[in-house]
Amino acid sequence: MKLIRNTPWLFILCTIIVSGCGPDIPTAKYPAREQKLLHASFDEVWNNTLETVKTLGGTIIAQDRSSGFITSKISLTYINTYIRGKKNESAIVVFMVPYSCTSYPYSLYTSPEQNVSPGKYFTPKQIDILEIYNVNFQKDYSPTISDVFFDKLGHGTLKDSKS
Amino acid sequence: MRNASLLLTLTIFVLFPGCAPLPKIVTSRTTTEMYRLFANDFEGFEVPQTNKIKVGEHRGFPYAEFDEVWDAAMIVSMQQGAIIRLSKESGIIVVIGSLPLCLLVERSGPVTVYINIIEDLHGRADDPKEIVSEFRPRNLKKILETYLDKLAIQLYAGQKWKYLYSDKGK
Repeated sequence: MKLIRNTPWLFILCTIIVSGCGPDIPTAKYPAREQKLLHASFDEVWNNTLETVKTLGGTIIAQDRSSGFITSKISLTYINTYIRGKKNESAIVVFMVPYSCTSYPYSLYTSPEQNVSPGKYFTPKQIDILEIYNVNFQKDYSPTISDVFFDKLGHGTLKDSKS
Repeated sequence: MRNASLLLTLTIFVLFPGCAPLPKIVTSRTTTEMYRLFANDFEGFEVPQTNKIKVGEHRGFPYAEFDEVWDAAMIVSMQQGAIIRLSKESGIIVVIGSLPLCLLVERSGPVTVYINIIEDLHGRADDPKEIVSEFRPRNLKKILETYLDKLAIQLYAGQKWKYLYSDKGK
């Protein structure tokens, strides 16, 4: 009788123990949200990515051909472009993640009169505000940049493939 | 009588702070090293030395080749922030997101990934020793370990437990 009464608790206890002892199985990858498959060679896609950045008036921040990676800056947007594919294969996947960058002031409030605690009956005679300008990088979820970039890249790559 | 004294007390408390002179506000401005580099498209940025990166967190990936780890590192890093420096030859990736991070993928022996924050970038331009950070330093270990966890998932999700990612039926 006592065992029957305790059965739900035993079940819960067993479930906790079993789930805790389970292997840590990874269940998800982190694929880039923006990606495109291009039927062209690595060299064509690489050259056209550089050309697309130039056409859009951007600058190259970093590039590594052996990795197939280009970081470009177009206006205030940083674009990570990963050209992923083996050099002998004809299909190349291009991953792209744009980041919008903004500068912002980070304010520190200080009082030179250390002995006076503000906010009670007295206010300090002087408040020093130090604004420290920093930069913030945030993932850019607007589809515009990705669409324009991929359109130009796809168009350029296909044009080269035909010729 | 009691109400009158209460009202008088409240009036004094309201009026007294209101009559105080307004404080003089002095605003001064400065920037961080990150801001300066951003304005110059990161020209002149120096990649941290290997020993500085190795002080941070690390994890070994004995089940994978260097190219596989590098590929996973690229995919995870590009989603953490803008990659401003990378070299497959030296195995270094510098990524600027909510935090500036530096990654070292070491080839020798079992592939090991080291990761650390580049704290200098958040130093004040007028006083580089003072760091303006927007995270609690005690959370740094967790941030770096989370990054390595993501890397492990990206790397092993399709390999170590292949039965979970069978291509049959696709």
